[in-house]
Amino acid sequence: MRIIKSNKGQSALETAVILPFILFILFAMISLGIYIYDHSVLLLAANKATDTGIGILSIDDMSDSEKEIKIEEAARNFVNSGIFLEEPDEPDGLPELALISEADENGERKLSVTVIRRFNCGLPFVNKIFRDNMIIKAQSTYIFKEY
Amino acid sequence: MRFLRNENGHTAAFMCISMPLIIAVLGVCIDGSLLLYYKARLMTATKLAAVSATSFYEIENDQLIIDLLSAEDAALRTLGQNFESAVMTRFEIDSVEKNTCTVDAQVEVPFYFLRMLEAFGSGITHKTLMESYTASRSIDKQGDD
Repeated sequence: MRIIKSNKGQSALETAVILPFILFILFAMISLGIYIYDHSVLLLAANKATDTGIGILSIDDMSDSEKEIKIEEAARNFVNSGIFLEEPDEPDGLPELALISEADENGERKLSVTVIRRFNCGLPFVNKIFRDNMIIKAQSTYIFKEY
Repeated sequence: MRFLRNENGHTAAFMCISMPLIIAVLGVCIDGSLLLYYKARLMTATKLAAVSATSFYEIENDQLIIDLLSAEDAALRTLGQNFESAVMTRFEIDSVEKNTCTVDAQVEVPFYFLRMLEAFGSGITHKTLMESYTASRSIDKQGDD
């Protein structure tokens, strides 16, 4: 009975109740911040690769597949400089990184750059639980006419 | 008087009072970074739309003239494919330099955390971002601005 009525350590108990909630908010904030940052890195990588593509699309003595390799390289180099992301790793069955479509009946072509990465939120236990579902993707498309 | 002096549950009371502040900080961090992400996405989509439009041209008297209809259509499609929720507000070909076009676009950014502060009379539900990009193409070299 004395133990129940005792006020000793009540502050510690209250903190113990509140702490998980505070930590959850803190980790959620950190993870969301890293997620948005990684998305931005992929977006800029796709954009950088498309820029590279626009520059080399008009080179005649270069095949489309060679151009695609150059574009992919530009995207990969950019993504690898992003600090929170892991090494390049394309999940199976997903589209290629860079794709230059054939000309349609109007002579219109399309350059699509897709950058896909697994999300690394920086928290090992969250990574372990959601590892297979955490995929981030950015796509950039450039429609052009070839004369 | 005893009630005022009673310190039982002060951590919970402190939490309740500081919650709006925590949500506000959270809101500024998350919604702020979301705003920057939308801005970067709108910038790249607008740029690609404008550059894409300049590739639809005709050559008359050794002068490159952007074809209004097909260029506008290409800009619209490129913008839509790069950023679905962006809206093209203006497409204009320069009346003097007909190899130059300008694309204006805008997007509405929804706020998720900052709108919670509406209960305290200072919530923000969304913000409209605008972006403009001018691109030109020349005959001699195929590069873009």
